[in-house]
Amino acid sequence: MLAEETMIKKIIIITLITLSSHSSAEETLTIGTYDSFSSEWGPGPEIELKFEEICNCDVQYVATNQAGSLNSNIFKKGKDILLGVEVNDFNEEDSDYWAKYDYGYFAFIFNKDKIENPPNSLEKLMSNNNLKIVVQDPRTSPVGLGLLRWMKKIYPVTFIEKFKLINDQIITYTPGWSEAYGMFLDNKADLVLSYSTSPFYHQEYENDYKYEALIFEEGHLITEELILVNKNIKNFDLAKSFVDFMLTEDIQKIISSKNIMYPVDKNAMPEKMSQLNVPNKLEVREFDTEKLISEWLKASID
Amino acid sequence: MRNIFSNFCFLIIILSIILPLISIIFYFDFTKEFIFSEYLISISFFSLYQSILSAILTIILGSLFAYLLVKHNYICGVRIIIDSLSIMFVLPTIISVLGIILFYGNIINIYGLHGILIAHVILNVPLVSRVLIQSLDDVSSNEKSLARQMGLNHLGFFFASEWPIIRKNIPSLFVLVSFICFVSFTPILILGGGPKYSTIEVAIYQSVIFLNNYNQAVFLLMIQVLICCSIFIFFFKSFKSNNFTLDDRRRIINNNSYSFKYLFDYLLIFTFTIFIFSPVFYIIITGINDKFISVIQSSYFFSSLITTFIISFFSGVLALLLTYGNLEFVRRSKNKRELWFYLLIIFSPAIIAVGYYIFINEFLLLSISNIIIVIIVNTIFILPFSYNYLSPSYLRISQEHSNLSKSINLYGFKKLIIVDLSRLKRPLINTFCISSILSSSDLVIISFFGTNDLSTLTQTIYRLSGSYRIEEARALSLLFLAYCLLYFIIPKFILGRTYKNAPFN
Repeated sequence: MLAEETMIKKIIIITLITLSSHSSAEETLTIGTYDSFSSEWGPGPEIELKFEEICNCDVQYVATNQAGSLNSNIFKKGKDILLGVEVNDFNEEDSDYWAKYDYGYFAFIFNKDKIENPPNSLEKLMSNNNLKIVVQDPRTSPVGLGLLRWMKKIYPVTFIEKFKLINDQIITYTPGWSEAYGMFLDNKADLVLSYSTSPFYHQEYENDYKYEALIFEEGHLITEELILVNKNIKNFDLAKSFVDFMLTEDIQKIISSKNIMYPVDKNAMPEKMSQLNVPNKLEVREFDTEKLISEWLKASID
Repeated sequence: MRNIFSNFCFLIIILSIILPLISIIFYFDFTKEFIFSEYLISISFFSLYQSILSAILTIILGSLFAYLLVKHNYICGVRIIIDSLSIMFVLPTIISVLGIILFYGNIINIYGLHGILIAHVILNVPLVSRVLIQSLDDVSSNEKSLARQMGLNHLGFFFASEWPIIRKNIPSLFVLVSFICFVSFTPILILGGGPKYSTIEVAIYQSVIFLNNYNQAVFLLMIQVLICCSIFIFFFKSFKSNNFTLDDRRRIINNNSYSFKYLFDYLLIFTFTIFIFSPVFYIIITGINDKFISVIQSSYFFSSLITTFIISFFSGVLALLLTYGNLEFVRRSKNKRELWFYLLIIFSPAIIAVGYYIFINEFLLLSISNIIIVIIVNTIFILPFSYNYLSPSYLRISQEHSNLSKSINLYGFKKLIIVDLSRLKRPLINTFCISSILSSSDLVIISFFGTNDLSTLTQTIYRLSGSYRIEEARALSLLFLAYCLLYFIIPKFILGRTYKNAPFN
């Protein structure tokens, strides 16, 4: 009985500690972002510490792991800054101050030891017909949607017919990036849709050089992430200084090495990242997402 | 007093559904039209089709498995299998699904309708079998010796005694499993292999989270609720509350013994066990890796473990209280009120979570700590399962004691403590464990209300694998499995000591 009581007491104390963990610093900067950025192994915590050293403020991340929610009105509310918005989802009217802070290219990753003569164009990949590809579902993942935009850019008219060809090799669509990438590392697929910088992670942190990105002649769709200051906030100057801070060389180094994306400041590029193959850039603006998804549905259901 | 308490509990259930819905409707644009496209018709049809198919398969296989396990429960290994069935039901779906792919991906092409069905069967057979095993245990020894005296063979005994019990459970289990499969999300997406096999739930998730189109989400939800209510009405004609007889009260060890004539049975049990527990093997095999030690030593492991424990403990307690309160209510008005519990399953988690997010951030002026919100919303999601686990034992025991407690004027908590508790202790603790662990495997709610300092084990696993750290994620999955096992074992161990001294047993 005594043991039970102390146990309960412990639980109550732990709860109270957890509940009262609001620190009371001077000015608070609330940043809405994805949890891959703000989590312990993302660039967020280090940037927070460095900024707090100079700003006399308290940086707080509010993270979501739900793709797309960064742009929703209900999530925006109460945030001074949104960090990680995709350029294609950004409307310039929404912010008076913003900046791109990193970018990457959509690409298929493969294991060099398993695939000889990998296709060097999308056209060849589509006619190949014996590779197992895993991609993300465009209805639930921005990466999956990226593939549709990418292919639509290359085949504006014949998108549906061309997508049918690649669809024959897609073994499945996963809800998010992590399930697809996990399946790929489990050898359940030959190719996975990710970013051309993904091999950098394995090289830098695992000293493993067997993963590479397929580089296509047709070019690769760029995806750029930006940080923006919300309109009508009280601490605009503080928020603005954080955006500028994100572009300094030191911070750009942290971002590229921990977010596994290219920094916008070329001087901050980690050495191994600069040795990766850089694809030709394709850029798109303003696709009607719902229309694109319904075209994809047509291509993959029939 | 008793009325006030149970009405209050029932009110909470109703409010817990209505509040988020009202909040979402606040964002509703009444000028927009809803287009019922061909795609939506096809996914509505497919949702219904796969859920009914999954439920039929799950019930056939689950009944067979339960029958075999009860028949051979003189084997120690079989009793361990029975005890660990619940674990399979509470594992995070994403882990189970990846396990299924790894295990079956090498043998067959797992993607497609058959993949979805395999996953649904693996995920739900444990639930069905556990309910049936407990019911089959209610076949008394008298009945068994009578059967022996009458010279009934196994088949005869099965049809005379066991089949009626299984049959009685089918409608309610059918509704439960078909609801769970109807709103299935992760298995459908990953194992479906393409948008050809999609459910309404996928479309709801897409519109509420990805497109922020609440109009469409609410319409889709209405369709989902309408179809599920039809299933409920169609199959519950013969429904009675005491259909679920999940109670740990009795366990009769069969007088059978090892024999060669059962070789086929043993083989079947073995196959079923491998089939159902394959995701666990996956977790163990992939979890023991180079990163295991560093994960145990990491600070995120410890902090997420504590958060997980706090959330699961308090959600479990709350769920138990609410379920108990509502059972008082259900017992007195034995009608379709139970539908409310089932509604909690089919109200899409994505919608409910967004609804609460809106409600808390816009309508609630109080600032509530996120951990409390996570606990409360989790509690609401686990209620249907707490209800299924507690209700049979409660209804039977409470009925047996009702005259006694009436005569000495005992109601509510007093009745629970003085009369019912000694016999309800075991089902209460079982329900508590199941509810707790279910809440710790949640990924939807925590993703809305979690912060960097407030992260559960399941969420940390997901975050790790979202940052290329697949090895760490797997090591942590193994630790999560260990956590679930301990959560089951420790209360049973404590209970085992006091249980022996308890009266009435």
